[in-house]
Amino acid sequence: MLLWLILLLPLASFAVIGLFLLNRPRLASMVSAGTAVTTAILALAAIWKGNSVEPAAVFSWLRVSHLRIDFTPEWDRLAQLMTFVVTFVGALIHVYSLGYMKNDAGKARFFAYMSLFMFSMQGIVLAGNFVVMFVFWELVGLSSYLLIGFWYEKPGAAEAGKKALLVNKLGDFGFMVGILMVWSIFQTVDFQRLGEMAWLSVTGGNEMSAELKSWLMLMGLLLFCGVAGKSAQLPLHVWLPDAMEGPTPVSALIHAATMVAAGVYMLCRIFFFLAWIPDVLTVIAWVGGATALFAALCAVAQDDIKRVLAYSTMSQLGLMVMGVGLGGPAPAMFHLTTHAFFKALLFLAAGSVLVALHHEQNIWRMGGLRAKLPVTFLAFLAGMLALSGVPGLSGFFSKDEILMVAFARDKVLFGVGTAVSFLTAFYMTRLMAAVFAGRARSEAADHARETPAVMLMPLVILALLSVAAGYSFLGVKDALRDFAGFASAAQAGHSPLAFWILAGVPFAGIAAGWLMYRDVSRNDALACRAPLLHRLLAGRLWFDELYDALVRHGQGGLTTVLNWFDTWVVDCCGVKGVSLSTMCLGNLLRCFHSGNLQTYLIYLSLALVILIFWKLALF
Amino acid sequence: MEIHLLKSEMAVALLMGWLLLVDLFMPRIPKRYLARTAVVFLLGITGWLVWTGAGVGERWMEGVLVGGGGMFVLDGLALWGKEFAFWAALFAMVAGMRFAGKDDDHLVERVFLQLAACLGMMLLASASHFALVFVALELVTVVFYVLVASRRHDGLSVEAGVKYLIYGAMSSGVMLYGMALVYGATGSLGFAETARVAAQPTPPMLLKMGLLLMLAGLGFKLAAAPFHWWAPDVYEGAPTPVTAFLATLSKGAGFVLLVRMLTVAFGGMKEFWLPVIGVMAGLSLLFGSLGGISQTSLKRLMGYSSVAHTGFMLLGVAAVSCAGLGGVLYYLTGYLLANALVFGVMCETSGENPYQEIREYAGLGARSRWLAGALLIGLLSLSGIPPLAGFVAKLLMFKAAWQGGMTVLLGIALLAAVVSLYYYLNVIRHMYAGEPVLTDGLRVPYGVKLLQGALAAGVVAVGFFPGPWWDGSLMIVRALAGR
Repeated sequence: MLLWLILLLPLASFAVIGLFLLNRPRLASMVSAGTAVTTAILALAAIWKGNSVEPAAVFSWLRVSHLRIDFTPEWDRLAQLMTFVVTFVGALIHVYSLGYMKNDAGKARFFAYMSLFMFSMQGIVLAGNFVVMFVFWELVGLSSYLLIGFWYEKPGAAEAGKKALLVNKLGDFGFMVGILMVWSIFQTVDFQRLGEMAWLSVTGGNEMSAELKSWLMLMGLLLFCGVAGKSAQLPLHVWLPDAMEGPTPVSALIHAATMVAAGVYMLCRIFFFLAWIPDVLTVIAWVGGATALFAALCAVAQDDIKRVLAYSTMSQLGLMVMGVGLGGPAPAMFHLTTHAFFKALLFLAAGSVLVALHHEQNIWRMGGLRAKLPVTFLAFLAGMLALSGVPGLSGFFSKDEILMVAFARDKVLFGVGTAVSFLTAFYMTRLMAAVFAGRARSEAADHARETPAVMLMPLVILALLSVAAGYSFLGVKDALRDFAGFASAAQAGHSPLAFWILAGVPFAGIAAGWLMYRDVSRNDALACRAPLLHRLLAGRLWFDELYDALVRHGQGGLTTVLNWFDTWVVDCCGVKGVSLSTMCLGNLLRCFHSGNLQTYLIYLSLALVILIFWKLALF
Repeated sequence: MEIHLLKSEMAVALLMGWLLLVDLFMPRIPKRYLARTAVVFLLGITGWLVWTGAGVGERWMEGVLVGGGGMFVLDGLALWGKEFAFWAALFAMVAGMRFAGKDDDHLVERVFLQLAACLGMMLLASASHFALVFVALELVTVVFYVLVASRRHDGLSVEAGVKYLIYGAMSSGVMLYGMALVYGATGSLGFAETARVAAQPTPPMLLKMGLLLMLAGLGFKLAAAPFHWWAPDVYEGAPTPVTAFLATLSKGAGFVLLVRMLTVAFGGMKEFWLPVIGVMAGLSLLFGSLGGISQTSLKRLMGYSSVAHTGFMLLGVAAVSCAGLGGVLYYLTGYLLANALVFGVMCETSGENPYQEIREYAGLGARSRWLAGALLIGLLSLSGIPPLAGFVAKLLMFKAAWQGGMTVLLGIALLAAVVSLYYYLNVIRHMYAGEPVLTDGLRVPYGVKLLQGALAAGVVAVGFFPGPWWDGSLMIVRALAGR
């Protein structure tokens, strides 16, 4: 019951706002935020009860021969942790949005979409099988599309929404094919039943035929396609930076804390299953590592405050994916949780800056905000230190766990992780220096004033969590330590050498950043000292241009040919021919219906006679 | 005879008598109040039947009570048929009240006749004796002769009535002759005795002949080709609510009888009747789908559509499996709901569009979003678009046909599904994209909105959560086949 409430309350809120409250924005925002807070409280209650929460009624949706799709909420430790992140961060961001969207014309619509998102996201978390997860996966994609393009009158936002949807569809297509392969190989899509099977197979895994192995490999990679789309991994990462066109609370909730983490969550959910195909895990680890490094490099040269954070999100997601790929799902989930706190915090603080600056997003037109926005500054500082992995804050603990696994498993990826760690500290220092230090470099920055309390309150809560979430007394750290689904995961030993490297690198990054950007002028220091490198990074290695050209020339040429084929062959011969002949046949049959009763009776008698002769006289 | 088995039938008969007497002796009571009271009472009886299972017990789908020396059975199929009759009558009565307008002197008489037809189907659903079958079937048909011709000042309605009467009389004659031959072959009119004779290795010629003639007679009721000739003309000419009633109740009655007759009485002669049903299915699919393409009147189109749907359902009968027969019951459920939606909207627009020309539906989407939405859902379900009830129903039929190994029929059915999609979508195209003839808004009372909303929700629910309906249908058919 409790679980159903957590799942369905946001849907109810969406329906009520969508049907009745679109013209009453104040009430709509209250309904939505109230629902989010209530859901968070209910979720806390359910987590408190833990596994003893009464099993929610099984709701059988579909049964076709032995395919059985149930809506059974999954409520294990993994789902509990993720529910906590989603509902708690979600509630805080709803409250924040009350302030951020206060005077927006589409406020009611915004909150309706937010509720829809909360419903869909919670659905992913509670999904007990692949099909249900896929349904909610698509719903999340839809609400993300709606929220990115929320200011649809801005061409950039509309384009960004479209891009996100299309790129995600590409990944989801692979995901869907992967699900079909799961079904055809294992004859079930249920996580628990798959789990039972995988246990059996681990013992007898050596007898697997090479053919089955390659099928499993393909299946794992296809499933990972969905993750790559949703969590913005290479090469499907292009949508995430553009998604920053949406309102900032959306960026915080969807494109930093929860939705983009859904891919990582899914990987952890099916980890038991992936653990059985080590080659796929290796691919996943390398894709994650490459994404992390690539995004961290791009973040160094961005001028837009939200884009820096977007690349940083991508980079951290890459780290999590790498963690799972290296056989460490528990550290990945730990990092997901802490990252949700401090990245949401950073985005919300950035939103606070944007409100104060009337939506000036270029960091070179800010500056000197430390004195003018003291609370925002402190919150941002906490988030920045946590993200950089400075020892003592949550980010350090979680990143440390992932990199410890890397150190034990693969030294090259450990090197990549260390480099990412250094770059993270570096670009965050750059961001801090440009935004908060020095003197104001624009009129807007000169007249900035601190934002209202309704927006600062979530900042403070998140800041406290960002600092403290890593310590074991909060329970996040050890929530999944003995989770049964991760039984085959790597247990990394503690290496003093790695520890000292990891503790030192953030300071090195901060120091380097500070040396380079200490005296900020109107321009990027990197652009002056290494213009070529800067152009390369600011252009994000020209992935977008490459895809554009690919679509224009490859797909464009193909469509021209297909269009010709469609017009002349399909339409002319196929469609017109078929429709004309059908029409003729129809008219012919219509002639029988003359409206004359005598004729009808003759037909009837004839039919009867033929029937009797056919059945009785001929045989 | 064990009279308590007839509780629900007696309740309806009492309601009819009461209605007639009050109408006669208290002429000052407005007719529509009386009609509404009748609807409420019938709803009550329906509720009672659903609630108690008419004494068969909680697991009514599997239980059975027999009375009248095997003439009258009360089992899952019978109760299902009775409920179908109730709902069909309820929808038709509401549609009739909307159609009639405020000052109609014959409203109560029509409600009385509709109740009589409902009673006929209730008896038919329980009949397992050919004499009772005939009486019950004629109770339905005779009522329809009157109802079809009930707009006496409308030439089309009278013409349709006469056509239906003569055609129907001939079909009844054929059927009665078939029953006589069955009696000649078996010495009895009961299903049980017939079954015994039919199970012999070589059933007598007379029995085969009798079965063929009865199938021809039933083909008329079901509007199954090649006995369907009346359908488009009568559907077009009859008053719209009567057409709705004809499309739902008449078809439901025919299929309940067909299912019981073929499984219980003639279960032993599968090889004999299977090709006949198959041919009827194929022809119905072709005539129903192709014939509808160039129609200009929605009512006439629904006549062809009804022939096509008979074809789809016969596909399930021809599959001679529990899945196929259970699918027929599921199909009928979705068909009833979708037809109630479509005809409900037709009744709302009948004032300004008496012949239901499709092109006059142009602009309905702008005039009343509500009606257009209801019509949209109804038509989409009839054409079999997921996730509506019609989709799952067709899927079940196709699956049954595939498992029954009827590849040719399956091909025809797929073709028919595509072709009929064309003519349903054509209506929708007119409704939303056509150049409007009338532009003023249509006012729809809240009661009608509520009913249509509930029906649309039903169509979606039955399609989206097929589980309970499908399980129930399957249980009924399994129990029937198991006896």
